[in-house]
Amino acid sequence: MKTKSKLYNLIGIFILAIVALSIIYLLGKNDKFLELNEPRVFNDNLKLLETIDTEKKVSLIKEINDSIYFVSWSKNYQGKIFKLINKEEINLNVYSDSLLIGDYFKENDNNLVVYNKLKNELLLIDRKGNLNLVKIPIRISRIYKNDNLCLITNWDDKYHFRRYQYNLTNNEVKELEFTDKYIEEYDLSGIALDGFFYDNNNYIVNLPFSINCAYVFNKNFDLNKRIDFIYKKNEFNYQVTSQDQLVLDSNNIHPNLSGAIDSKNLYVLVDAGTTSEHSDKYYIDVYKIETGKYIESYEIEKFNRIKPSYFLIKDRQMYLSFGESVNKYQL
Amino acid sequence: MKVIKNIKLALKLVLAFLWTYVVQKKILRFGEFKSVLYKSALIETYQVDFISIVLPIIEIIMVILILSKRDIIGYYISLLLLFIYTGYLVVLNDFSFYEGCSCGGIFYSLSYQEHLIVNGIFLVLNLGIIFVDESKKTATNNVYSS
Repeated sequence: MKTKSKLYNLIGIFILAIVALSIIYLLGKNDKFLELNEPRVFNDNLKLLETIDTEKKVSLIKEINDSIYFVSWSKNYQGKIFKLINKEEINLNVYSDSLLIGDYFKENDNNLVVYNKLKNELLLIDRKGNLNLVKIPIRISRIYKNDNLCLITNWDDKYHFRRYQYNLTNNEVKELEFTDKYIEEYDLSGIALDGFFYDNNNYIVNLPFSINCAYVFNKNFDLNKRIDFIYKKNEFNYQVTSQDQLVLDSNNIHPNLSGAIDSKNLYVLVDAGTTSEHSDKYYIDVYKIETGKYIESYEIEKFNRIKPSYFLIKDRQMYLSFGESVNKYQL
Repeated sequence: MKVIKNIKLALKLVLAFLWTYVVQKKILRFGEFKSVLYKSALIETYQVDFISIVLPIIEIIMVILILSKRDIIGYYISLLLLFIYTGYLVVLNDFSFYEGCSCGGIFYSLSYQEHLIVNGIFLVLNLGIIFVDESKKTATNNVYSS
C-alpha cells in the first residue's frame, strides 16, 4: 500500500511539473515570426554531398588561400583556428597572450589577420609566421580590414550605431557618415544593426543579425546600397531594469543567423521565428548584390536536431555548420 | 537494514550537496543568475525579479527539509524541481537558447547532452531515495509485525 501511495505521489509530482512547465512555456512563449513581403521561391536542388565531423562547435567558416577554416568558441578551443579538411590547427603560438577570436581574414598578400576581442587588437601574421600587433584605439564591435584601412562598427553610450575608418599606417580614426533611416527608427540602432562583414572582390557586405536588410559598401567603405530583405521590418524591444540595466527583450528575434557571399550573390541564413509553427524553419535567402533583388531560397532543416549556424559558398558548393558538423551541399 | 540506512544517508547527502551547490551559486553570483534569467527565451523580463528571489528560497527550504526529519517532503520537492528544470532545459534547447540555463558553476560548462545526463542521474537518485525510504519503513514495519 505504501509503495502504491508513493507511486500516486510520484504521478502527482510529475503532473505538477508538467503544469508548471506549461505555465512557464505559455507565459514566456515567443509568438514572433517573420512576415514576408513576397512569398519565397524555393530551389529544391540543394544536394547533400557529405558531412564533415569536426568534433568541436564550428563558428565563422572562412576561406583563406583556397582552404576552408573555422574557429570554435567552445571553451576548450577558444583562440584557435582550424582547417576544415583535416582539423589541423593553425599555429598562432607566435602570440602568447590570451586570445578570443572576434574575426579573422586573409589579406591580399595572404597574410593572416586575427582580431583579438579580449585585447581589442589585430594580429597580423605573415607567411613566415612573423607577428605584427596593432592596438586599435577605439572599441570594436565588428571589423573589416582592407589593406591598411579598417572599417569598424560599434555603438556609443546611447547605443547608437557608429562607423569608423581606421588607418593602420598613421593610426588615425575617422568617423564615417551613415545616414540610413534605420539609425533613427531603432532606438538601439548600434545593437540592432550589429552584424558581421562579408566580402568578395568588389563589395563588402555588412549583415546585421536583427533587421531586414544588409548594407553593401565598396572597397573604399562608401555605402553603395541597402539590400532590403523579403521579410517585413521586425521590432527590436528592450527594457530597463530596476538597476538601470539595459536588457534586450528575450522575445526579440535575430533572424539573420549568418551570411555568405560569392561573386554575385548574397546568401542570408534566416531563422524564420520561434513559434511552434515556425520553430524549426531555416532558410537561406539569396539576393543579387548588384541589383539587390531577391532571387530564391533554400529550405534548411535541423541536422541531428541542431540548428544551422555559419556557412560559406565556394565553387557553387555550400559548407553549412550544425554544431560540430559541417554539411557540404551542391547548390 | 544497515545497508539500506547507509544508502539512504549517502543519497540524502548527495541530494543535499547538489542543491546546496546550486543555490549557493545563485546567491553568491546573484547578478549573473539574474542576467541568465533575462536572457532566457522562456522567461519574460517582468518575471525575473520574482523568480530570482523565490527560486533560491524554495531551494534553501528544500535543503533544510532534506536534512531534517521531514526529509521525504524535501525529496518530493527536489524531484519536482528536477522534473521542471529538465523539462525547461529540453524546451530551451528546442528554442535554441541553451544559454538560458541558470544552474551556474560546473553545470554551466556542461553541454546540453551532458546536462541532460546529469539531470537524469539525479532524477534516478532522487527516485531511488524515495523508494529506499519506503523500503526502510516497510522493512521496519515487517520487523514490528513479525
